[in-house]
This record gives sequence, C-alpha cells and structure tokens, in this order.
Amino acid sequence: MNDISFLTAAELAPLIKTKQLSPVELTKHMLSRVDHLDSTLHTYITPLHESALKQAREAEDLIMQDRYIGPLHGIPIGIKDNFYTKGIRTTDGSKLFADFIPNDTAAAVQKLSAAGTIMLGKLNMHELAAGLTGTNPFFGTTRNPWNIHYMPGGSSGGSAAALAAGLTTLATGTDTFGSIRLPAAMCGVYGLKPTYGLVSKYGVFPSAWSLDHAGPMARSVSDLAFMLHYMAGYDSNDPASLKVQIPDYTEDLNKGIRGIKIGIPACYFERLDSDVEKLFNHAIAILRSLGAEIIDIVIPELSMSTFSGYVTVTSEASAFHYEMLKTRSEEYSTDIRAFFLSGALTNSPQYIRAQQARRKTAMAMKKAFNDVDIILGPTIPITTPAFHEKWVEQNLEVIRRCLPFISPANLTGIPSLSVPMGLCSRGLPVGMQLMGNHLSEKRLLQVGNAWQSIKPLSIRI
Amino acid sequence: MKDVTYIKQELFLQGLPVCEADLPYIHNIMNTINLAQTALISYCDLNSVVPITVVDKELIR
Repeated sequence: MNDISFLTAAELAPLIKTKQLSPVELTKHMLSRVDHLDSTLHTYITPLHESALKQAREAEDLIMQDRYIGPLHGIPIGIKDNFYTKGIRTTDGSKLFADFIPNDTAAAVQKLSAAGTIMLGKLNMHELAAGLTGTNPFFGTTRNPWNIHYMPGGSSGGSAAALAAGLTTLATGTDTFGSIRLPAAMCGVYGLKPTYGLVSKYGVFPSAWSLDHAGPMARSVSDLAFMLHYMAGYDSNDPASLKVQIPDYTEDLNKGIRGIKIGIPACYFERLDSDVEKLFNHAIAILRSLGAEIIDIVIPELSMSTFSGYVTVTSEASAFHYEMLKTRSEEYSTDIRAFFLSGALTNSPQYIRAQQARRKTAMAMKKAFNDVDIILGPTIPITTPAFHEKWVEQNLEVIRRCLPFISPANLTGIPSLSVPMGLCSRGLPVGMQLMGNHLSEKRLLQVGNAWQSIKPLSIRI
Repeated sequence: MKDVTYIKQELFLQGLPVCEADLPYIHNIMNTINLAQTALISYCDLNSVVPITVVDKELIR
C-alpha cells in the first residue's frame, strides 16, 4: 500500500470498503501528521482530535456491520474555518470571531458529514476570506508545503496546503475572487468553483454575497467529483440556491477530450510571468495532442472585470463589516481594513455600473460558449511569490495582478476548475483554469480528468 | 483620483476609522479602481444593460 497520507479518496474508498484499511487507523495517522508538521505549516486553526476519532469509530462500526454508505465513508476532510460547525469554534480567520461558536452547521458540511467524511479540523485561511496570500497575523501564516518560504495562496490557503502536505484527503473552500482556485494553483492541487448557487452557502460567513461560492478542493479530479456529488443541490435556506437536476458527476469521468473545443481569450496571454507563459504554451500543445481543438477567441468585455471585481468585492464586504469597522477597527489587520474601507469610499453609481458591466460580461461569455465548450487560461498570471516582509503591500499587489484572471468566473457565476499545469523554474506549482458555461461542471471535470492523466506535476520547465 | 485629504474627510464623515498608516493603501486601491473604470468608456451602451441585482426568487412567489 502506498503512503496513505497522499492517497486520494477514490484510492482509499475500496480499501475502507473491503476492510483492508480502518477509518480509525487512517484518522489517527492523519492526526499524527498534523501534530508533527503543522507547527511549521499552520494549515489548521482548530484540529479536532477527539471528535474526529469519535466519528472514525462510528464509521468503522458501520463498516464492520456491513453498512458501507459510499465513497466518502471514513474519508478524512478539513473544513475551511468560514463554514459554520455547530458547537465548534468558527473564526473566519479573524480576531473578530476568535470565540464564535455557531449554533448550526453549514449545509455543505452537513451533507459531507452525512456522506461519512471524518472532520479532522477547521482549516486556516486568509483573514475574513479577503486576501490571496495566506498571511494571518492572528492564527499563524500558512506556509506552502513545496517550499515554506513561499506563500500558499488564499484565502483557502490552509485547505490547499493541508492537501499538498498530506494533512487531509479532502477539503472545503470558498471563492469570492479566486480563493479556491488561486491557492489550488500555488499548492499544486485541484479546486472547483462551481456555478453560482449550485452549492448552498447557508452557514458560510459572507464575504461579498453576490460573488461568494463554496466548493470542493482535493488532490484529484475524481475526488472533486465525489465531493460535488454530495455538496451540490437545492437548499431553501440559501436564497441564491439553484433548483436544478444534479447529474452524477462521477459517471463518465474518463470520457476524454477528443473533439472538445477550447477557446483562449487573447487577454489570457497578456502580462504573464515568463514561466507561466512557457507552461501555458506547453499545456496548449498537450491539449491539442490529446485531441482538443484550440481556438483563439476575443472577449473585449473581460477588460471590465477588474473594475467590476474591485467595486463589487470591496462594496459588499464593506457593507457587511460597516458597523464592526466603526467599533472594532483595531481587530482587523491593515491589508483587510484598507481593502474594506475602500469599499466605503466607492459610490453607488460605481456599484451599479459594476453590475451593468457584470451582466454585459456574462452575456459576452455566454455568446463565446456558443462556439467553444471550455474557456482556458492560466489560473493566475504570476508564479508563486516568496513571502515578503512588507506583507500588506504584497497582498494588495497579488490581488491587483490576479484579479483580472480570477474574477470573471465570480462576476459571471460560471464554473471554473483549477488544475496543476506544471512546476516553475523554482520548483513551485503553477495552475491553469478551465471555465465552462453555467452548470457544465460535469464536462469540466471530464476535461480536467483527461488533463490529470498526463501527470502535470511531472512537467518542469 | 481621490487624494488622501478627501479619503480622510470621507472616512471621518461616515464615522469610520481614520488611521494614517492605512491611507496610502486605501489611496492605492482607489487609484486602481479609478484606472480600471476607464475600461467602461468603450461601452457607451452600458445604460441599455440592466444591472445584475440580487433577485431573491423566494420573495416574489
């Protein structure tokens, strides 16, 4: 048996089902790794040894009674600390909520628990899910397991780093302006921001209501498919929840990509770091060799995404935090306070024009999907930066560089899957994102799975 | 461009904290937003587009 720390859920499930691997043994193994490694990596805010072992024993009892409930039965999972967990501290990565204990559990977590997952703990994150570097002055800055001097990305930095370090098998994430996809790219794992409303946000701390998404993160596409299978679905507690038929995302994952039309907007070739550009061109050649048709496309409306992204995120976040900013401003770190206060200074016409620009961009994307199945781009235009002592400036600069690449999927609500694209010259992962029309997750996962089969993390420039 | 004096005044009028150390960062973000806004100039038909607003279908049943 390979090291169980790095097996995927799809690899662990048959071992658990056939009683070759005990969920208790697996959970103890993962928790001991957390004890051993997390004082350096800071991927967890609250590890949950006792309750995880209790869940594992219950999972094992069911299996011994031949009552196996499915592929996530007994699988370890980490939950980002902005998902409410009843009776368990949920901090949103912030000093403001350091002692907050919710009375209810987020709908997505309830569904994953019902599927048999074992919650190892609450994962670290960029404060208030509002930054992209993974720095956190209150709970410790998460480190990138590929090189601890480099950032893991954010805001789901704890989720991505824990997956990359083998400190969990699965993780949840949220994505308001790239917070699932960017850390997935920086840590060499897989992350899916689903269609807006496909996964309930009930019980998730809001960052910016109209851009917030909850989604799965994992070390393989098939694990994302398993997770989405359980996480997706209508929830009357979430006003944005979609009432749609949920397909079986795990079916036909090996369909391949022959004949798939992949469009690449010209703007996704602009302002790329040279390593990202080289890896992206290499990826395009591989996709072509796998049978995909690559088409150059132009979507000029994407030029409005930076404006719409900044104005919408800062305005909505500032609205949520308006009273707390007045009374507890010292409990925010400088980068987040400045970001939110900027939202208080944008005006109503700017906000409304941002929403007009969003609709126009969404219509343009829809039109593009008449001609192509997938829109492809690097997840972000930069290679993973090393931590800089001027971390406030660094976070704001990473946002500025990356927002044009990551915000269009949030602004338009389309699904976007980040997959590893290879390693840069410093040996750190780089990612690319596959975007599809609304509710096309199944196709995105099929294409992502075909891409994964080429073992992208073995590519190094 | 919104200058630092305007930022301080606007924050003060809203009862929001005015921390000198924050001002260069806020100024920087506001400049980025204002520069990004120029992309909208190419779309003179923007007012023919209905803004995306939060439509809560539960409320209009």
